[in-house]
Amino acid sequence: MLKYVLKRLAMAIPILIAVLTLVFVIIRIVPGDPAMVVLGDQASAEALAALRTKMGLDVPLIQQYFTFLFGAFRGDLGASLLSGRPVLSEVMTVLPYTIDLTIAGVVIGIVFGVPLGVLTAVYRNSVTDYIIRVFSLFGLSFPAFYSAILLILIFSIQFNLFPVISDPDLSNYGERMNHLVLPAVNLGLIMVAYITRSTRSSMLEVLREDYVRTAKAKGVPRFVVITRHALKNALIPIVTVIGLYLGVLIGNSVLTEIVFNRPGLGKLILDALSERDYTLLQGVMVIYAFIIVIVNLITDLTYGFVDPRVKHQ
Amino acid sequence: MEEKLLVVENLTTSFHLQNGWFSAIEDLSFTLSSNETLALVGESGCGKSVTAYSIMNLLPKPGSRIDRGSVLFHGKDLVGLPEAEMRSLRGSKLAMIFQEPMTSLNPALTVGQQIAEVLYYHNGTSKKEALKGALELLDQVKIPAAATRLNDYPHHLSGGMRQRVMIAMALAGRPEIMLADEPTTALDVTIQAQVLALLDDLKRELKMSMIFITHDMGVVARVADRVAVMYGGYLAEVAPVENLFANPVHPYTEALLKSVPRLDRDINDLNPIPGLVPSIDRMPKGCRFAERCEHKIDVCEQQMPDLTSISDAGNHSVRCWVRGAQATSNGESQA
Repeated sequence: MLKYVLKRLAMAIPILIAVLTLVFVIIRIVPGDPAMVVLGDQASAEALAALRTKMGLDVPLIQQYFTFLFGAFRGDLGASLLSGRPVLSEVMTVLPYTIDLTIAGVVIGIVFGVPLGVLTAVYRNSVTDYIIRVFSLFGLSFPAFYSAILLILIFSIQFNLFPVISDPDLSNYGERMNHLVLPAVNLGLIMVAYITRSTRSSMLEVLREDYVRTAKAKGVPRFVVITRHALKNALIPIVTVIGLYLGVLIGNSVLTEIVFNRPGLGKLILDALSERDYTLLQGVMVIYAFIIVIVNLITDLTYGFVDPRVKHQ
Repeated sequence: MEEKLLVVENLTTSFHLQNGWFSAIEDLSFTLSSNETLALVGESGCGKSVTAYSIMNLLPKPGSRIDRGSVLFHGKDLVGLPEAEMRSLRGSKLAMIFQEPMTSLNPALTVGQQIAEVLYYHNGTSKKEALKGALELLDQVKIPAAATRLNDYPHHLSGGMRQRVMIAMALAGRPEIMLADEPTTALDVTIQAQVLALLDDLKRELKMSMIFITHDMGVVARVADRVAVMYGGYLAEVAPVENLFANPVHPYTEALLKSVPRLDRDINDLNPIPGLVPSIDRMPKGCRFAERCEHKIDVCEQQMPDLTSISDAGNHSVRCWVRGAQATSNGESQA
């Protein structure tokens, strides 16, 4: 198991190098002089040249590339052009907010999505099935920024239950949770919809399997047939779906963070974009890639728990 | 009179197809005594498995229903029995093993867990005791190194071993009736023989009755006490196994026996039955075998004959206009 994890992490290195290269190239292709962006187009030629030297932009491209690459592997993603602080520490300050939000979204998705999916499969083509399916379609087609605004209007402004702007002090646990509810629900709704749909189709398939018939023939209670015999097998594709949609979820968390004015990677990206903070932008992209790699690894490891046929060797 | 453990009377089960409800088995009546093995024989689609599922109340719902008839087990009608009561019988008094050992075991649970489950839910034994019981059962079905197999998953086992696990699972509830739905069809020939021998031993040892579903006449000769030949959802002929092989009366039974390859005969004597079993929504009006029958007369295509007894002992019945009448008028009896 440990060997497998180490092997998978080693395999992540070429992926990360590829991502770093891609990010490096894209940033260089984008027209414009970073020094001029920072100093403005009225800056003197001397000042621009000095800044370029300081930013390491005056050396050959290949040297810049390797400096960037080795820096990244040492955890040095450069300094933000705007604040001058190291990119990594900028990211680390806001990362807990995004992790809170994503985990809460996934938890809501699983806690509601899996049982709803099972219900729709067991009572397929019934009224329950249709109602849940319509709602999940609703959840899928609702843009995250729109549902976020609706949530704020209803629960923050109308009923005054939760804060409009989600900018909690992380050391205060109560406040942290209170500020998390609405953004998490907003993100969770989409996840519930995705998980409900994939649980339904996966369960429908498994319920037709011979071993479910065997379980019935053994006289096992119906609830046990559905959970222990059917759901346990249906979970395998559901885990894949959850892993895949985590990427979508992180994308949606950007929108959610913006609408709720909540600190996080999403807002950091937006700020970096609007301020043309190239180093920050490329740093955040690298971090995102790293997170996706980790999420995929966790997904693969989860298979080992739900499917005994998967051996991590 | 010997005690009849199971009495099936006029059982009719229908399935819903695109253009309505069609019966898969019709007017099925037979009995099963204690310690007896009844073989249900016929081609694919003749209703053998549907009969077993109807008895077990395991028909896929929605999409199928029992229209008429009764299944009396110890005198109690299983048709329309509340699900909770039926469930307490399933896996305990009535057990079933299936054709496909590869897909009939749950891939996500260990062999031990799957067997222990039966003991846990039917006998109320603790989970630990149930696992011990599972180990004994694995021993009983002669799985080598049973203790190490207990924690194996089905994918670790061969087809023959899986079928042994299925049998252990079926035995766990100490069933009075074992329904075996083509339990050896998916296995290699050598493994088939082993599994058949095992079933036979266990049946004697545990004094079970068995309904053995198969299309293999060789298997029938080996395991059955009595044989019920089915065609198109109807019983064509019911007889003790020796009588059936020595003196098949229904043209279908005869044809079925002729179509079995034998080493002591020329391959050219092999007579396959022309045509196929009609699908349940295209059944002919009269005798369902009429269109494939060499002996048919006019009445065969008009009306379904009744199942009539043709022996003095009352243990050989046949449903045929031509042969049934001949057999009775000749006073032919099966000793």
